[in-house]
Amino acid sequence: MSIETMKKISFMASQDPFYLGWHLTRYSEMKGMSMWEVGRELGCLPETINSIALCRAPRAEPPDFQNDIERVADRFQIRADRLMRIVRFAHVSDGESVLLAARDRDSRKDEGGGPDE
Amino acid sequence: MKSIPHHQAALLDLHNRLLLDDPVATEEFFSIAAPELERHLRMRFPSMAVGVDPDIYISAVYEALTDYFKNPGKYDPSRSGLMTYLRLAARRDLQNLLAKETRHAKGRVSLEDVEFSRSDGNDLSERAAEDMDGRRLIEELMEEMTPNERAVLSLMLEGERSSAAAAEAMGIGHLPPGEQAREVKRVKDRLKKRIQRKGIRP
Repeated sequence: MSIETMKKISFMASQDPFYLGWHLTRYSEMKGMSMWEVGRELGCLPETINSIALCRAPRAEPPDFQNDIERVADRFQIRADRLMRIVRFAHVSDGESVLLAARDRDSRKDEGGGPDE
Repeated sequence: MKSIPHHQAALLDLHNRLLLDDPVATEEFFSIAAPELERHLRMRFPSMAVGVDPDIYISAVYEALTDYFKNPGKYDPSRSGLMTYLRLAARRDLQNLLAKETRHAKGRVSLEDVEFSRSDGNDLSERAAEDMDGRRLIEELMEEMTPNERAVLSLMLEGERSSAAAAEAMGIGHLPPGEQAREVKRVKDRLKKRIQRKGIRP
């Protein structure tokens, strides 16, 4: 995929909480950082941040959340602890509704609700 | 990157990883499938009207892949190849995006003009601009149409009149040409009747 296409698709992904790019973008906006700086914080090359942005966002459930973070960190050789902090920050600061929705879903499952889609 | 054919095996492996919620599978899938899907759309729909967003191909690819990622279980391997499934989805998304743009940017174009005349685009715009009811009628018409009718109409609005292109947009490109032509004619006839019922001027 060309760098230009990658950038365009990453930008689209930054508008959708389904993708990690949404979380990275929220974090960068709230911290007043460029995506390049976010990439540096994660310990990756500037161009890698666009690839990371195209990963699915980590699932909210506790064991899955950690596993997903570690999977992404392992794939791109970045700091898992920092990625986790960034995603949590984005959730709490700007995407609280996303987190709450996930918690609601979890509690419904715990209460014997139907399986997640 | 070297030109990639389908990499069916790689895509099927990624499909299985998506089903298992592997978070990095989406990124790998984009890398393999997005360039090929974009190329496919550019070949199928080589000309776009002036004013259409030049990134519309990429947007269609993004939407098709994202829909698939969000529900990979919808793909049934026993019915078609994965790339065939995604190409069809991307074509439909492109048609929908074009129809949306058409409704917003070209809403004043008279449908009868597009369907039954051979005037050039400028003439159409000038004539349509005179018809203040045209936009409302077109919007009503669009809402009443089936997806196939909308797909064929948006092609016509782009100046594409061939049965082959219409058949592709309707997702029947795999049928023999004779059957394609019959199905396309059926849809065009229905479109014509809808237009006549609306009383849009010929």
